[in-house]
Amino acid sequence: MAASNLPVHILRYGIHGEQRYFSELADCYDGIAINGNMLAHTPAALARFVGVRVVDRPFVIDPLTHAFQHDPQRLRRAYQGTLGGEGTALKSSVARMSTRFGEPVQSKAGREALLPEDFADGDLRRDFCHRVIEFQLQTMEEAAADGDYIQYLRYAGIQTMKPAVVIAPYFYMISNTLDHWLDLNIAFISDAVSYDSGLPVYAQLVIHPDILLRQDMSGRLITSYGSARCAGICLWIDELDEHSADAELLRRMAGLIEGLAASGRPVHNVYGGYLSTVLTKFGRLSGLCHGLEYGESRPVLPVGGGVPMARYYFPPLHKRIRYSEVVQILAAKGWNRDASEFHANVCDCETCHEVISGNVENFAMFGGSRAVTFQRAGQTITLNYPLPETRDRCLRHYLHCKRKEFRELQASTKEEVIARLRTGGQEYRSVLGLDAVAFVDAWVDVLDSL
Amino acid sequence: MTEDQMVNAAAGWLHRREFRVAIGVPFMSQCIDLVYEADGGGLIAVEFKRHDWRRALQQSRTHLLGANRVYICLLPREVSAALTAALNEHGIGLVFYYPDDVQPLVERVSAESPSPSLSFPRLWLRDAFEARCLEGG
Repeated sequence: MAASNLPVHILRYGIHGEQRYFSELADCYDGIAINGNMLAHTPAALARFVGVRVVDRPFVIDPLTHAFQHDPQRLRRAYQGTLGGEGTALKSSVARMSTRFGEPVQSKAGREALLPEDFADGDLRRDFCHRVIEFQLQTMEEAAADGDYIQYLRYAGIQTMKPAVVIAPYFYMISNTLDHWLDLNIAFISDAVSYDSGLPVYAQLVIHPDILLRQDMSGRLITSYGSARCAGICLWIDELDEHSADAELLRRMAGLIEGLAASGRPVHNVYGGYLSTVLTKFGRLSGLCHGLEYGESRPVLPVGGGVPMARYYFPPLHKRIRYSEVVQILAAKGWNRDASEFHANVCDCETCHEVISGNVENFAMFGGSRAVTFQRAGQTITLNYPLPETRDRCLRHYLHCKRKEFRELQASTKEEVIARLRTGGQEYRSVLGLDAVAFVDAWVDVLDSL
Repeated sequence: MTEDQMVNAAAGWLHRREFRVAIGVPFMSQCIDLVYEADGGGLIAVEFKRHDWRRALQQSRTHLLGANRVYICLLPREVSAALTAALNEHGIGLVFYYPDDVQPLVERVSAESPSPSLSFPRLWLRDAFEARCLEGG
């Protein structure tokens, strides 16, 4: 495996309310990913977070440059003025990012979609690239310098708040636009390397899954990124869900990772789940990133955001499932009577031991919710929102499970992993239905092909 | 005839017969169309669909965790072998809805009482039912 400047297991920072999990569960991950819009919006809060609370973890900033290539209306938000006026305005985080990125983004953000020809001028392209790199290098440091805690940082011996690597500007490619964006994406990598920021440059390759099914296109990506001068590659396959993707697609994903890694560069999956975790040992993936309990798959649009819903991560299937499904499993399997059976068959993490506390009835604490009723299109809709304490328990359980998965994998052979997957698929197909466990066959296919 | 109209008419009929009834009862991240309290005090959950019985069954499976009996309610139709088998497999009953004030709900397949497992889902449904009754749901 190629040496990587990024750690294996990276957690994506979602909302500020999650900060405490990064510090309290620091042994459950190796590094942090921060979205550029979040950094632009609240640089001081992030500087404090990175500088004070989790100083010992490398971090990386995703500049999200692709945000500017889509329908510009997506970058605007509706507002209602105090005098009754209404309209749309550029989202403040996007406005701040675009100001930092400069032209051609600044004048087009929220008005026109960015096009490849906007970067036809080589000087303009390089300048843009340099500003995107500077955004990653400087934003946090500037914010820290403005705050009182700079004194603390200096006292703590922290001289820098720079990311572990910088990511070159990048744009999303679908099979019909590969010809338009590919050369530009590669040029950005060269520009970023030439800028000599002192940090390794990573490429971020963001593609629609259709490209995986086109061997010629995957081949072009492998050739182009393989010969680019980047130190590593972050791969983001639009909305590819390891639990629902077709086996062929997953095999192609593993093939693309193999192809990209063949150039000696580490490849990280930007949104990955347990299959990606397994590929860090038995495939050529160097690492993966996901959010706190969500974000093992992510669509390119909308850019950032989204309200995470609590679900229970079901370790035997390495999957978040609905709470009611877990209760159905407990009832169907008869694991509702004895806590030791629950821990032996479902989960024995610290959180589950603490919550269950010898009585499976306490599993109720993973499912507490509050019903909210509202009208939509003339119909009464009721949604159950998890209580804060429910979400807290689900999240801690999830992170403990992820840590265990990595540890368990280190001591496992490929055959053992496959056997466990197959057992899980067999065990739960009659309760959850075949569709819910069919991913196991697809994953085994992928592992067999390695 | 929409599902909402079916639910409201059925609720009104049950109410006139002096059953305690609630509609739109939240339970386990879902919403049960109608819940009423049977004579013995147990809760009966009913999921309404005009035609799509597979979807009704899928949603009703969760209700089994909290209710004493569970029914799906459809517009009158021929009861296929597949529907009968699916109902029997889960112990879910079937009622037909007739747009008729005299007796809109007619039982076609009786429901079985699910074997008790964890007690908290039943408590949750009872709490949600009582809350909706208080709200007048």
